[in-house]
Amino acid sequence: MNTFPNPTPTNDYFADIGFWLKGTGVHHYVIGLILALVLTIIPFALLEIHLTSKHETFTHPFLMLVAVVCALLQFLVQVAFFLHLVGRGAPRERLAIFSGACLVVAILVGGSLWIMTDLSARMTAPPSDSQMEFYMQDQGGF
Amino acid sequence: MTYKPEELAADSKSVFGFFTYLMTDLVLFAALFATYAVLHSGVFGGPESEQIFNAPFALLETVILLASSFSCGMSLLAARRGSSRGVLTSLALTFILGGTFVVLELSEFARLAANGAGPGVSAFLSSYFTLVGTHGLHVAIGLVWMAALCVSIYARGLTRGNMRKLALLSLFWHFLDIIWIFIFTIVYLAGIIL
Repeated sequence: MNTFPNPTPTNDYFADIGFWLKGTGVHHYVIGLILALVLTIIPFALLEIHLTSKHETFTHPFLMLVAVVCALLQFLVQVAFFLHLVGRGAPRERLAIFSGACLVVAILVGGSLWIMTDLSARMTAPPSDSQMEFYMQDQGGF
Repeated sequence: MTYKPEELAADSKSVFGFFTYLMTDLVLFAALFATYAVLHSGVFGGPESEQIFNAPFALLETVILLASSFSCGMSLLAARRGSSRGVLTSLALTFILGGTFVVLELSEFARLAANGAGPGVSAFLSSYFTLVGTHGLHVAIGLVWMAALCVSIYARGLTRGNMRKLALLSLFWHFLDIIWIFIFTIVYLAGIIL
C-alpha cells in the first residue's frame, strides 16, 4: 500500500504527509467557513420565520428538506475545505476508506430506521381504553 | 524545515492510521444517531423535543464550534510558516472556543435536568444525552490533547513530532465539527420542526 503521496520532500510538511493538498492556503479555510456559516443560517432562519409566523409560512416537509439538504451540503463543504479529502492530488486511500465508512453509516442509519418504523406499532405508547376497545371489537369482539 | 522521505512516509502512515480510527468513530456516532432517531418519539409522558430545545442556543453552539474549527486550521497555516508563536495563539483561541462550547453544552444539560428532562425520564432523553454527551466528551478529550500539545510546542518548538500531532489533532477537531452539523440538524432543527 502506498500511503506516501509526495516522494520528493517540499517545504510543506502537511502536504508531504498527505494531510492537505499542495497549494492549500488561508482562502480554503475562509471559503469553507463562509459556506458553512451560510448553510447553517439558512435552515435556522427559515425555522425562526416559521415559528414567529405561528407555523404558517412553510410546510414541515419543506423545512425538513431544506435542513437535510443544507446539512449534506455543509458536510461536503467541510470534507472538501477542512478535511481536504477531495481535489487534485487528494490521498486516494483516505477517500476510499471514507467512502466505505459512509456506506456503513448509510446502511446502519437507513436500515435501523427502516426496520424500526416498520415495527412502529410496537414502539408506541400503550393504547388508551377506547382504542383497545375499538381494536378488540375490530378483531371480533370480547 | 525539510524532512527525510522516510520520515514523511512514516508520518503519512500515522495520518492514514488516525483517519482510519476516525472512520470507526464515525460508525459509533452513526449507531447513536440511529438509536436517537428510533427513540425520538418514545417520550413516555415526558417532555417532547419541541418543548425542550432552543434553536438560537443550538445555533450559538454551532457557530462557536465552527469558529474553533477555523482557528484550528489557522494553527496549521501558522505551523507551515514555522511560527510557533502563531500556532500557540491560534491553538489558544481554539481551546477557548472549544471550552466555551463544552461549558454551553453542560449548562444546557443542567438546565434540562433541572426542568424535569434528565436522562432518566424517557427513552428519547436517554438517547439524546448519550448522543450529544458522547460528542461533548470527544470535544473535552480534544481539549486535553490540545492543552498537552500547546505545552509541548511551547517547550520544544515545532519539532517533527509536534507537527504530526498538530495535523492529527486538526483532523480530530474538524471531524467533531462535521458530527456536530448532523447533531444541529437532526437533533435540534428536526426536533423543533417535527
